[in-house]
Amino acid sequence: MSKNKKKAASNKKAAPAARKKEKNAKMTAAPAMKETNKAAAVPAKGKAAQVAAAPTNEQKAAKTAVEPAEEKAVKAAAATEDVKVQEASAPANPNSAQTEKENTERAGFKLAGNKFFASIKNFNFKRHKAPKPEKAEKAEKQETGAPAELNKAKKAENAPAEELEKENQLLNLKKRLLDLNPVFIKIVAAVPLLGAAVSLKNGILLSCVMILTVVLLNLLLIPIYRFIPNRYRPAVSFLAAGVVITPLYAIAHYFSPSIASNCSIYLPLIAVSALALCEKQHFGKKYVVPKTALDAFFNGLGFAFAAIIISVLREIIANGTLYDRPLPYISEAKFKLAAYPAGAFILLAVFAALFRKIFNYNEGKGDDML
Amino acid sequence: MNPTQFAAIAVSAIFVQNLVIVYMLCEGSFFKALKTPASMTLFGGCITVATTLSSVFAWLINSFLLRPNSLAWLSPIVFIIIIAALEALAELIVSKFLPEKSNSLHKLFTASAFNCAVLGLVFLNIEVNMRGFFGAAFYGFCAGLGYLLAMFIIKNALERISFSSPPTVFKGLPIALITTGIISLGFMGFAGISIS
Repeated sequence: MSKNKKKAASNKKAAPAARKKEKNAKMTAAPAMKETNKAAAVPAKGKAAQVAAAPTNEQKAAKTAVEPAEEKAVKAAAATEDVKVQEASAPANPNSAQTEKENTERAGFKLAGNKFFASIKNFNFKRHKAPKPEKAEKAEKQETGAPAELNKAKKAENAPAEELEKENQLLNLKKRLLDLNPVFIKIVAAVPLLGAAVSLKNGILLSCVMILTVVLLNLLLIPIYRFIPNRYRPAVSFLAAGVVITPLYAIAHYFSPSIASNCSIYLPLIAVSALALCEKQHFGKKYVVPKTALDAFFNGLGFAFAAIIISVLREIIANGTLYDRPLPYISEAKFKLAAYPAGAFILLAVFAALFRKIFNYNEGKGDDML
Repeated sequence: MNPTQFAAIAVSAIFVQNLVIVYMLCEGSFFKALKTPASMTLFGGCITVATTLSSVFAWLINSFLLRPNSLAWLSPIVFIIIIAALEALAELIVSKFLPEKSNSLHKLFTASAFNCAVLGLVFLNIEVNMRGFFGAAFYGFCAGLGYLLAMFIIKNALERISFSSPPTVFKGLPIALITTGIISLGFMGFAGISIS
């Protein structure tokens, strides 16, 4: 037992000495660390500094242990500088290529993030509107730095398919007669039909004049339309319609004066209606003469189809006749309202609703402005 | 012309021979213009000016040029040129005195001048050549007022219809046409009135 007590006492005496040695070692390491890392610097003061000025063997051992840490720090700093220099001077190096890749990836992520946040900032939660084409191009240029010509090229790739679709839509007789009938579905050029299509004779005259006017107007306007400034296009097309309708008006009055006088003011008004029909075609932009003329002919046929249906019905209902010949049974039951404006409006409305229902015409495409 | 004749012309132009409801001279631009009272008034005012001026010039040219020389078959192109020239003149005046508003007024002028109501009124005015110069000018003015009246009546009727629920097939232009037809039934009652 006594031996154990002695050992414990000697340990107690030795412990403060060992602690002192450790402290001194730390104090000597502090100035060295100050150079590499200022935050970790601990100033050496008082007795500890004096002890450090006269190092013991143990302190020397501690110094040698700390020196590799200093060297490591210095070497690491030099290595990072070297990497930077290498990156700047030799980009072909494989290591630098990797770093480049990393940098570009980071930049990409940054760009995407910026775009995302910008879109959130600019988003209008009340009503999101698509930017105008010019603005969109500018925005693309600003954001991506890539020119808008690339996007235009992509659009140009898709353009032929769209044009083909449009052409197919244009040159389709069934669509012009039924699916997209100008009078029953689009309710364009309805004025002469409402006013003068009271008998089949009137209907035939109106439809003949309309077909000729629309086709001739197309043939006259398409070659010159692209050379006319936008501002003067309505006036020029109005004058062209006048040029076309005048000889037709004279011919109609020469060959069938009674029917032409029955049509009264609605015969020259076909000029304005034909113009409205042509405007629906968007002529003179991309299409060539024969195709648009053929489409105009189909449009005129659509008008003729509507005019003959309406005129036959109005004649039968109002007068009980067909082509001025009395029909059996029906001629006794006349309903004069069909020949008046009210009857014309209501009949056209009923046919419009019927055709829209049959051919599933989507409302609100522009002509439904109510 | 005495005041009674002017009153008869006014009644016939506004009610009995209303351009929209009786003569059915309502193209797409008519229904497009039915928006706000201010825009309707502006459009109707432009139509009134166009009808008045075009009937004045048309009467002059028809009386002194076309009818004496039996050139009535040329009337469509002549009247169309008159209307186009008036529109160009109006645009010229606006571009000179109100250049900042010329672009916004351009569409309004084209929609109001190249309208079947204006051309139709000129032909109507020439068909009844008994009114004389002042009568023709006054008829043109009153016909424009009748157009404006028809716009307000139809707009009001369509607003009332918008509160109801018509069949989906009739929504849009078909119901507008039926409404106009019913209004024209009411206007048929004016045909029996004779002043003078």
